[in-house]
Amino acid sequence: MSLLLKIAFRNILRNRRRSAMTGSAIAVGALAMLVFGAFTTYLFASFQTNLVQRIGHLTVFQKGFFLFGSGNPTAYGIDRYQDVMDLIAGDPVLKPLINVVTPTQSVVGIAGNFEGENDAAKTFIGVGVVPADRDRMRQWNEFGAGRVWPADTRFDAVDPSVGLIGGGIARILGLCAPLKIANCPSPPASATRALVAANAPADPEIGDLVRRDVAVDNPGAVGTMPRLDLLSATANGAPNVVSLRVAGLDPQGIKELDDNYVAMQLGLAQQLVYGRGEHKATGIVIQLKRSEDLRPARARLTALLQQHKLDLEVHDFAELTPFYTQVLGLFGSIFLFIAVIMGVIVLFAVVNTMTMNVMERTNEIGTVRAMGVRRRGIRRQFVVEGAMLGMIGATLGLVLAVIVAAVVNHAGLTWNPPASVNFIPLRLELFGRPALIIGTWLGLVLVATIAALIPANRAAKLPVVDALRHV
Amino acid sequence: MRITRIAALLALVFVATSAEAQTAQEIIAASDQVRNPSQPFRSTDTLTEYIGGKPRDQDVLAVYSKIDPATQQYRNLIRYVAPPRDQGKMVLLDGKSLWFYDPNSKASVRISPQQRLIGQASIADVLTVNFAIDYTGKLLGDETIQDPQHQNRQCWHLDMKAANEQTSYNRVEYWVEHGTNYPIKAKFYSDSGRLLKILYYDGFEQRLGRVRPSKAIIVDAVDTSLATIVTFGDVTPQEIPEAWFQRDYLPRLQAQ
Amino acid sequence: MSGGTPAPAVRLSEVTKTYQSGAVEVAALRGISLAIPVRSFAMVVGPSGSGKTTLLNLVGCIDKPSTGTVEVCGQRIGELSDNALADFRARTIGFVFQNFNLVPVLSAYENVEYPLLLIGMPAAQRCERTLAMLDAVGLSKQGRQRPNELSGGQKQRVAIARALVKEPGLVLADEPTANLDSETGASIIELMHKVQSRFHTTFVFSTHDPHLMSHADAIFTIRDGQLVDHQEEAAQ
Repeated sequence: MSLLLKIAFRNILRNRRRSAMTGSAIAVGALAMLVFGAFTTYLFASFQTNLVQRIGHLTVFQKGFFLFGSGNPTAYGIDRYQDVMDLIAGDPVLKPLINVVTPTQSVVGIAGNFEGENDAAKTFIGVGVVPADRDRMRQWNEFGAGRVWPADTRFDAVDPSVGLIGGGIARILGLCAPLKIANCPSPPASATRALVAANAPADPEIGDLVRRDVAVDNPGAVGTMPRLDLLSATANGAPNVVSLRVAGLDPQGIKELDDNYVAMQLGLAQQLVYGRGEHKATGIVIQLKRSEDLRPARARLTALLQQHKLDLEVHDFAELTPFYTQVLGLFGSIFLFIAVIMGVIVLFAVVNTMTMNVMERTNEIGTVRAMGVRRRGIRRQFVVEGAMLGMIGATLGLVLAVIVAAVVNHAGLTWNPPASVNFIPLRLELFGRPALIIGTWLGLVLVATIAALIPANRAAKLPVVDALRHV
Repeated sequence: MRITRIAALLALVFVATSAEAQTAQEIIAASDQVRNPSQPFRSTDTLTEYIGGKPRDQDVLAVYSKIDPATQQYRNLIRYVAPPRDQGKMVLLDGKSLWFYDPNSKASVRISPQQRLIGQASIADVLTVNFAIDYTGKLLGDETIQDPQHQNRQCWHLDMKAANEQTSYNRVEYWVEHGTNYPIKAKFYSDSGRLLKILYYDGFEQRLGRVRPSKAIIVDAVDTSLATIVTFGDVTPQEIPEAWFQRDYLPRLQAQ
Repeated sequence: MSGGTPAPAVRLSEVTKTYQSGAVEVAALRGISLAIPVRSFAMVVGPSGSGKTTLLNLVGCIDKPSTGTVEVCGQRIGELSDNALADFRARTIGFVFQNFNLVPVLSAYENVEYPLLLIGMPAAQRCERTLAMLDAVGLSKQGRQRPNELSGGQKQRVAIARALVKEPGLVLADEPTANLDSETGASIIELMHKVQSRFHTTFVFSTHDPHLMSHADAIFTIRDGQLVDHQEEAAQ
């Protein structure tokens, strides 16, 4: 065996330039796959962190909410949600796995800025949350790949009407100036007002009737916080309105969401949606300590709910954000594509190199065959050479990848991932997934070995006499 | 001796309070009578929308109203007469459901409560209501208020709470004139306690057997630049077939 | 030695060999029968194109006859599979080539050791034999050197050492002195004689070298694929 390796290694060294070329091609292939793979690993970790910070790992809904609830959240409140939360938080299997359990309420309605001269209204899609739980959830950072948020002091526990809105909806409602938003143009004059004859006299009677009552009953803006009216129909179909004091922006990465987003405290959302009825919650969000526990936690949770005959369903963050699974799939496909291309390049390079080697050593092949080496011994010799070339190239590629990763990680680069508004550090997680390194290394060595098989077979099949005749 | 005096006092208090509770609901019922004819009727209403005090749109509607014996609430079939672009469109208001029918597409679509928050549909709830059925009233006392003509009216000041979960407004403040039981003013509050709409009744004149308001002024308390004035014209009794209040029947009504 | 009780090292009976050269069939050997005595210095002579190389290929068991039988060291090679034939060669036959044919990436020592690895000899014994053989060809000090560092004569000596290290029954040498000067050639012949007497090996040469031929025990002349002359001399 060691003779095999000895000859293989020395032949690689003998054709220094040719081996260097082929080895470099393999190394570059390995480098490309490893760097892209490391980037992808990091991307998933940071994307997942972002999601888990915002929507936790698992959410419990009323049955049917996931498929039908977004148009009509009021119909899908969870009865006695506090009891369900206690049940989940107290379960001996789930308790050690859970980081946060918190209720949320989805709201849809119309947000209006009717203060003073303003006359802007916009449909909104909002959520009511518990600010303290939201802060805790935003601390989650299992992979060290996300941004860690300090407690959001804008949500004031003392004033339950304080909330945040998206950048787009703030702009549409004409809150650029009050919220001091940069790069924010004011909305054009109201179209409906334009329809009114500009010169027609205002009916003083109406103005008088308005002034009698409204100033007394309507709360105005307090301090510097602008106020919005949130209108919605309750679960019983009654019109309802609450005041939201806007403390600032919570910009969303996707424009459609950013143009509609309102975040308020849970109590306010419940007041708006349920009014005089029983206050429920549309979702119970569960954030685990570690993502690895997702599957067992989900299984236990589903069993627990079934056990208590509760009409509830469980979804994880990937189901709630199809974009996540799609991005994972996309990057997986791209990686596969790169791997295949690199594999093909390595294949051609090694076939070419080994074919030349065989051709040059035809006489040598004849000689050792005459001396008693079997056909399979010849084949083995060249296959080992190909494999060895692959191993050297792949290892070199790995070393290069480690260097590149170290350089990038210490360069302090940042980037803005898609569907996000924040810049996060750009890192290459090379050692996050051992399967990546092992898979790439083994894969390329395998390709090189298979590539060498073709010329090796040809060498083995050479008739001894003809081989010896070769110069 | 003392016992009988105490008993008499107690009896007096009992009578007074029960008389008071009766009176509040009675007042409300009486004011309902002023507004709503007991027989089915037809009226031609003019709806004018005001923005910032300036008139914008004006619609003329033919309204057919009939009480549903089961709920004691009105059902209304509304047909647009003017402006020409809306002519022929119909709205069916049946309890909590509001259906809109478009003659061009021959399709009827249900307007959800969410969609009735703003616009013309948002005033449907305040106009066609029998307060006595849906609300429990409490008499707060006497108050003199100004009507839209700046006339002082001496009124009962009532506080009405929703009698069930289905009622649109959680609470209504109501002013009914002494003696005549004319409804003068109503303030409608949401579940959250915010004032949603203010309603003034005006133009009291003889129609369909007694004096009734011919005009309603509705002010939006959330978007204070919006107001609507509804004028009830040409009120005549009319037998209205039950079929007219079926959604499926709407396309056939076009022929009328 | 005359063919008496000891069986011949090599026996050919009515052997023919034809090749397909493009569309043409070429008969390289047409019915050759001969016997090479064991432990002899046998030489095959003949002009180029006479079938000499083909004959040696058959004797060396690196080719099979088209018809007839070839028997080497008592083994009929026609009935052996390719693998069995290779194993037979590994055990029984040593080769010396005109161009030395050493493995360029192996040292002189490793080249000589090579055949012993093929027959699975244990390491200690291998080492002993290889060193002894290197010594026998006078290259003890050149063990570590690669073929490209050796002279022609040194290379041929390594080749001979390699051919003989496993003490084969038969050694085939194709023009072994052709690329050597006369002095070196003479010393090579002397070495081979030494080995012949020491290890009782049968040598089969193909050669033009008259000096080498003068040492022959038997000379086989081939022309046009047929044996035209056969001479045997008494052992010296």
